[in-house]
Amino acid sequence: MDVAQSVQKKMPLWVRLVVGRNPGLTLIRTAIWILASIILFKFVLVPIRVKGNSMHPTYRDGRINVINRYSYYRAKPKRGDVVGVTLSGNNLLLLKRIVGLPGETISVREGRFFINGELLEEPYANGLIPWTFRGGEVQLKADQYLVIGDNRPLSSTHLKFENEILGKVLF
Amino acid sequence: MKKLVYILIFAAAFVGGYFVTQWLFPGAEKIIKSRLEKLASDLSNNPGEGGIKKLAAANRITSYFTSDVLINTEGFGRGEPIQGREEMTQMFMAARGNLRGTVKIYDVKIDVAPDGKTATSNFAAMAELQGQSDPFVQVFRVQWRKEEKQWLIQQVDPVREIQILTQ
Repeated sequence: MDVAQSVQKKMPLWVRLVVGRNPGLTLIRTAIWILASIILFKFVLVPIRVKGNSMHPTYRDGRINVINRYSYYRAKPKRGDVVGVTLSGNNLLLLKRIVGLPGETISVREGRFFINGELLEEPYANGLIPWTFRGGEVQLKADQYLVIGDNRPLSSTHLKFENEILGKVLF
Repeated sequence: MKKLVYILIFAAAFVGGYFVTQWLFPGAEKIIKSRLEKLASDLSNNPGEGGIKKLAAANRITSYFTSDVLINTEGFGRGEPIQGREEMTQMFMAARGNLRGTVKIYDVKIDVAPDGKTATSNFAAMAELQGQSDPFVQVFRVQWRKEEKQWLIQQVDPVREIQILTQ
């Protein structure tokens, strides 16, 4: 009988269930899992909880979601994508939908968006925009996006550069 | 072995000394951040709070601002900026009577001028008001001035990425 077998026999069942047959290996395994979880949920998938109704009816107040920080690693953000955007840093994010893409000219007429003069069809939008741009229209710079929430009367509009878009929501 | 112990004791004393120094003599950034957090706490008006606590918080508000404070309110339903501590206090007291909620600040960035007498801070503020389903979120730029060894708010500007007109 070797040492490992004798240790196993002496260990009560509940101890084996909690720490496994080899406690040292279990500790290393646990540490790896914790480290992997921290890396995954801090640098790759950012868990968020929706607060408020600015994205209603697509996302309701209190809903849990995840933002994939690597969603735009290879591809550029697209119109219609729901993304998490930063305000002053990463601790407070806004969940918004991309409406305008870099270089486009955007105006609002009768509560609807017009991109380079053409009406933007938005089946996801709830209500009409209760404002217009000062000066009539907005010309987006290179690398600049226009984002807004789906619940138009409640939502604020933001101009965001690509580095201010944290990532796309997963579901 | 003895040498290693001495090195460890010296390193621990050095690290401990650093933290004690930081605690006893905090830098301008730390003081400003702390004042912003206290201001947010004093601005919060929770229904569960006692009357004395509320009054003390309301009285403290003025101590965060310079006498000639300028608060730009463009986009908040008031065209004219708030000028001076007295006007600000009146506005605040009127608002506090009607509004209940909490104010929190996030992602504070502070830039202290080389002369150490002025500073600028940028941060996002979130106010959750009772009876409103959506929190109010806004980025602010705040200019600070050091007066009699105290950092006071000299100017507050909401940061607007886009100019809109309400229809």
